[in-house]
Amino acid sequence: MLKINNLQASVDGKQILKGLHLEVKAGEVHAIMGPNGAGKSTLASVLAGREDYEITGGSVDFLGKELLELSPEDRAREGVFLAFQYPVEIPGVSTINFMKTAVNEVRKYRGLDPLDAPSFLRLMKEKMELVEIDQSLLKRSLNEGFSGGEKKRNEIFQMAMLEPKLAVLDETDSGLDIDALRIVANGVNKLKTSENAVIVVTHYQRLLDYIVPDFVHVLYNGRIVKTGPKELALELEEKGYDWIKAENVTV
Amino acid sequence: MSTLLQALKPAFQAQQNWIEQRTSAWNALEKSGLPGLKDEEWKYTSLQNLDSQNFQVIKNTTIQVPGLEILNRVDAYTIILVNGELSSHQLPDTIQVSRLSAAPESIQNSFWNAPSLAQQDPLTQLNVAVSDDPIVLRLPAGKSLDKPVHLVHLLDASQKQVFSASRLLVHVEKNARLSLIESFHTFGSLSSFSNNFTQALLEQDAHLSYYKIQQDTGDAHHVGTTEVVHLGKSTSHSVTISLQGTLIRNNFHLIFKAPHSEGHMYGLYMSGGEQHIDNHTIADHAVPHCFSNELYKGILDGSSTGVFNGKIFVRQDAQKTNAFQSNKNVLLSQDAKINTKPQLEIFADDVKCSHGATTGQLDESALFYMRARGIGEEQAKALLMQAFANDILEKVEFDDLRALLLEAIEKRLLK
Repeated sequence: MLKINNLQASVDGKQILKGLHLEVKAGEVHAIMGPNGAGKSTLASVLAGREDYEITGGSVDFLGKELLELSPEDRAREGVFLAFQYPVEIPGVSTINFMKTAVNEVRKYRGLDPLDAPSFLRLMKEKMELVEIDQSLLKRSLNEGFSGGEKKRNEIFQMAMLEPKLAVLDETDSGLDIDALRIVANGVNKLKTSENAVIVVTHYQRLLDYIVPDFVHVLYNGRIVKTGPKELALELEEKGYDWIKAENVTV
Repeated sequence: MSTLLQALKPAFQAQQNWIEQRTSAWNALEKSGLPGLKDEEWKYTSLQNLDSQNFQVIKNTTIQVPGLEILNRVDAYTIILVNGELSSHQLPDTIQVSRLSAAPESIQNSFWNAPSLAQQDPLTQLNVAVSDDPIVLRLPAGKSLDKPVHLVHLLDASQKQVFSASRLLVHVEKNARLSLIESFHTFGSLSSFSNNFTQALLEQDAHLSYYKIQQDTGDAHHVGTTEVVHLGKSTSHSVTISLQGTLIRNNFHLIFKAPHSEGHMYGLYMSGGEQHIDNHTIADHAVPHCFSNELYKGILDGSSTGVFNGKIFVRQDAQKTNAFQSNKNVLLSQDAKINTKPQLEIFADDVKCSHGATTGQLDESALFYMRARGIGEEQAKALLMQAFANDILEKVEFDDLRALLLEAIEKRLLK
């Protein structure tokens, strides 16, 4: 599904990603862990098409298309979803209205008719239950005045509505208490099928107790330096990242 | 003398009534001439282009109104003016409409003696000198209507460049409630210039909701003044929405003459191309315990310019005044420009006043967030702008009018 080959990216002239390789197949869950400043969020942002980053080399193949050549909206329409670490507050635009526009723009791109109001409401109700989010929240201005947990739940709700092929969760666990974490993780798990894939970007292991990865990658200094099974996350939790750093200094 | 004044002098000379008032206004105007950029009140709005055109007063026209959407969609009692002349009206008996010359003397006096902040304004003097016999709308004590009254200003610029002046006097008596819409429409490919003056007097416990809607098609110029005078303890709510027109200058004055009165002023202006939209507002607190609240928002694109000048006067006796003002603008292009100036003159010491002005571009992080959900860049911008405009649109109390405006704005944003 996704093949990242030798990806290099910089921001403000500073090289962050320095030749990153990653392959994700349908049905898989990949965790990307690493110390602060390793490039985890940069990777997530680059995949979604944030324009602050300059791609200085490499390629990203997504279902046969060069992702890096697509606009952010076309990436989303092709089926890439980024759950933001810091969801943006947009006063005056309700989540419902926002999602209605988004769902129909994606449908248009795929050659489908827009959903009529009853169908949209039905879809929304179904997804609301899935991620345990209240309708009153969705009527309010997008993320405005939402708690940290509500914002992250809203991200997963949007993911449920858009049914992406590849979801990238950028530090979705940050700022969540244990109950909110469980609800968010449950939502992600319920949405998981053999047809789609998830990349979980996280600093801590605790989210991976709920969203169990098939592979754990350690990102350090702009490259993936270690890949292992889910147990690698536990090892990292126990030993910290210093041994990775030490290993890579000697290499 | 300016081209415009020369062209309009016969219209002044042809007037049959209020000769004294008209003559003094015309003489003052002739002496000062049209205001130029050196005039503090006209620093950012040039009338030069307007003055060089060959505007004429055109009377006795019959206009074929080509499916005016606002008339079809907004449920209201209508008064139609064509080129400034009263053409027809459909009003219930509850509200009285007449010419000022036919109104009782007490009413005539109350208007000539009404407090006004516009006497020194040359364009208001122009209106006083050349406009026809003013139209008087009077809602008697205790009355209210089930629908708004909609004053439709039609200008026929299909044959010649047309000038029109009209004057409206509104009297909302004790405990009466009135909603009034004024809208402006130009037909034809030539340019138009409308010059209007509306004064509303509010008695004890009266309420006025006032809407000024500018969806002028074509090459329309407009300089108009609206004054809402709280003569008794009363409330007002006004919304000025300017979406089209080549040059627009709206003067809006809120005048408090009775304690415990309350006035809300809202405005939305959207300009593009070479448009110029100017809103000059005044909240004049002369008595204690009044509340004025003002929010004007602007979206400027192309190489258009906007002007917002908001004055708040709190005179010495106006203790316990609450006066708030805010002006927010979004510039969508490099060449769009806004001149915004709050001006507070406070002579009382126990008051609460605040003002603020912001001008910015679209929020890039919000745009990216929307695009990351599959919403195209243009659509995302439109959604953000709609949200920005919605603060004002939600102040429109009539669903049909609000829906019409929302559509006009959406269409504009998604051009």
